[in-house]
Amino acid sequence: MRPDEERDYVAYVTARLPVLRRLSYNLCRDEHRADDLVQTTITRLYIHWGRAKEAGDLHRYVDKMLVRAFLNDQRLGWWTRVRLTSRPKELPVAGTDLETKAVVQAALAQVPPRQRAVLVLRFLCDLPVVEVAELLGCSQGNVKSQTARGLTRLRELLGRDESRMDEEKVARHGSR
Amino acid sequence: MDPVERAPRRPADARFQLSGARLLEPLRGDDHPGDPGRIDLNRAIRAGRRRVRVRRLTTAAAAVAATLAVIIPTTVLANLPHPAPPAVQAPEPGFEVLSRAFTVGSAGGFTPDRYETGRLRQRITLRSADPARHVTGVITMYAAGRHPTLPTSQPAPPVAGRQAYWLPEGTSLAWEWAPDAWGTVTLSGVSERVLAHRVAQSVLPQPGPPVTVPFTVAQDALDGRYRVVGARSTYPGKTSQTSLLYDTQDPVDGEPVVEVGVRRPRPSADTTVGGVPAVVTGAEVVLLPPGREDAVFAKAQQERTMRALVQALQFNS
Repeated sequence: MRPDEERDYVAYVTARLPVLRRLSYNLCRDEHRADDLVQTTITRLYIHWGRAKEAGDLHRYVDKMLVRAFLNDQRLGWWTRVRLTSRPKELPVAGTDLETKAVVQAALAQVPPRQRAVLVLRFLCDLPVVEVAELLGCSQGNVKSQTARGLTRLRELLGRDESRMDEEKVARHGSR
Repeated sequence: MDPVERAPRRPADARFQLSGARLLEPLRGDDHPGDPGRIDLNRAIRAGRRRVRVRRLTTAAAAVAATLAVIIPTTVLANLPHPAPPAVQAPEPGFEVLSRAFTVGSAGGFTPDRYETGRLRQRITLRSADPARHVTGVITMYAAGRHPTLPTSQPAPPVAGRQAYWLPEGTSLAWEWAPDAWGTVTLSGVSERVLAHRVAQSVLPQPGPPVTVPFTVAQDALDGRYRVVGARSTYPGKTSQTSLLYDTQDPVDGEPVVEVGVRRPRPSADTTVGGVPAVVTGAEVVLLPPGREDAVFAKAQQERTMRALVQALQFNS
């Protein structure tokens, strides 16, 4: 890469890093893996910088790289999931319903990766169907069907968790 | 309620929009990982430069090898009045794309289920030898010099006399099956590391004949940049599957972009593709040609590609 191209690359990545980290964290809900995914994406971006710059929408091109890296990582990513520190996974955020958040987060983690990506992109990143379809390289109809399946699965999982929590409450306090 | 008085139904997707936003509401606002992160821009640049260099070198080496493969035999033939000895071919780095380079036995309670060939990586999926147990495993054998970075902090007993290491995540082992060539085994559903070691010992480098594929796929079904990078085939069992894998480059750490093949048993159709019964999901398109025991399937990133592929497959017999 020529020095002027490398300067462009550094400027672009530096400016875009917070957005990429947010998207990555929303997809995998794990700070360490989110950073690994972004690291992989910006490395690939360096290799393909020439092609990326020619893309009509550079932001979307890079977002697409990140989403694909996430889906690939879900298929065979165990190698990169080496936790290097032993500190707790997540620190609680003050002012939120932590139990509900933990339950929803755990349920979302069990939704199949592609459906999870659709749910996150639509309902946490607030992207319209057409943009989600472009990011995932599929049709809008496909995004809608994945949304329906993902929500059904999420509801099933949340229903199961709610019943389990009810049972635990009864076990702890006795039925009244 | 009188149907006239009933409120108009919202379109299905608008209902999902409301429902999805409500379900995921608790996670909103929790999208900002703590700073500073572990992302290192300089490391990305160094790794990127290294990969670009390797790609250039590989391309140059392949071009030189191809040129020599043409020039040397031609020169030899031109200068020898008597029949020339067989031309020396430049060795192709890696494995034969469509041949199994290893044999895998049943060991540690696991038995091979599916084999994926490839030039830089060959992968064997394992299932439990006992149908009542739901455990799985994956063996990945890398060509020399093409393995990912290895964590070597936990030495394991040698495999076939060569060095081996336990991997930190799950029940996993990496071992050197040939100089600078590594393989890994990862087991799910078991925690005894000794089982991973036994599985590794059952893997023997023993090149086999090319995989037989009972179909052909029309060349124009895919963009010209795509080429066959491997084949997947099952070991004898309740299900059977044979497929070809396509990509623009040989995969090492990811999945091939396109897969097309045949398998049985057939699922039940819920739609049609080109007038033929089919099953269409987000992940794949499955065609159920009448009069055949096998289903034709394709996996790709775009549904239209999958539809084109299943229709481009022709059975050989």
